Amino acid sequence: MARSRAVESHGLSARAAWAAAIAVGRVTELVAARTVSGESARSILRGIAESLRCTAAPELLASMRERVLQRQPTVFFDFARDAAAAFDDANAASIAHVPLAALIEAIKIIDDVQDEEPQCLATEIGVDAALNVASGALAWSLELTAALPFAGASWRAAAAAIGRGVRETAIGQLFETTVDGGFDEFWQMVDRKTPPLVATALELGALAAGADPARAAMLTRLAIPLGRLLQIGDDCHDALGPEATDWRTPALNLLMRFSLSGPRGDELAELLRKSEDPSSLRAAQILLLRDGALGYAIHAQLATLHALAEVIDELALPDPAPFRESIERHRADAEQLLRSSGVSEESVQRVV
Amino acid sequence: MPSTLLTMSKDRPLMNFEEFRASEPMAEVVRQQHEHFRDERAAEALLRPGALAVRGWPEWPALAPSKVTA
Repeated sequence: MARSRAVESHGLSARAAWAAAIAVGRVTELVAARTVSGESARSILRGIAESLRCTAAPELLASMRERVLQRQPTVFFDFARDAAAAFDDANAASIAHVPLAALIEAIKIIDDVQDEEPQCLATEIGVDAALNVASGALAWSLELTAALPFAGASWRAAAAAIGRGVRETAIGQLFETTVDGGFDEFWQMVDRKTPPLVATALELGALAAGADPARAAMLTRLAIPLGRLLQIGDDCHDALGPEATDWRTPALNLLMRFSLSGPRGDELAELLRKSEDPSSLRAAQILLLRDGALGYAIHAQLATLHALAEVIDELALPDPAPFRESIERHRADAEQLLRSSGVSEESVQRVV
Repeated sequence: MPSTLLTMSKDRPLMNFEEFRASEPMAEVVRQQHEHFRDERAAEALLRPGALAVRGWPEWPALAPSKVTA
């Protein structure tokens, strides 16, 4: 009983934090779109940031900033960099690195509370303190956004991209808590959860490289396929990796969903009920491999890469090479994974 | 943000689970994987730490290393 109350309490805390993030994101979008002068907009964002960070202890905020600054750039920065490179100035993306990293830190802290991660900031300092730090990280991202050295319409587009990224990610995270449906609903969840931040990174990178706001916004068409690629890989690790964590919520994992829907679904469900036992967990992982779940994940990866390539062609970017190179690397990795899972060269060539 | 599945390719559509199981050549891929992983050692080799650590298969999207510095 005590545990279920604690779990419920954490869930409520995470939901409240997402709701607050939705409000902050929406206000940021409105400020970017509706204020008379750019200076007023920047000033309002700084005011919102000041309010957001007031609940967190200063030493925790300082530690969060240090952690974010010391961390290596994430894959989201790669998207910003590729977007900047597509407009012939890859290095310009560096200006987007810390605003993005602060935003990701805020989202990661709340996501860890929602997922009850066994090792995370909330388990170190407590849920309330961690969520206050998440607000502080969001505040920092807004302050850095206010300070971005973009002119006029470009700055407004960047601020709107940050606001939209926060709001849509939070909506996606809330949607995740309600998902228990079919195939299409699974992909709706994926498309709501990860692509919004990818879109923000792409737009910021393009704007930093001098793309006009309309062209920068077009890059957000890449966000769904890129977000799916991330999520498919994430699901493979969370099902098959050494620190597999998705066994408590199999409906949210692509590979588990695949096998649960198939002829060995009952057998897998039985193993899932005992997944606290390491031998049952390992038996469930081997079942996924034998049942074709990894094969399905690779199929989803390849189909998504194909769709991504088509969108890149349609965008007619000044320099699409960075995105195309990324597709080729992903495709080569998928081929390698097929070979290392016993698939013949002839079959690899038929499906890639 | 475009809605679900709109961005998927017409030439290479994302199959649902039933379509995937029924399709050739994917059914052949699954058959070969099944044979391969019947050997417990082959399954263990793929499940060992680092075996899935190839580009594009990050540990967590937000913490996946950047190719710029990794």
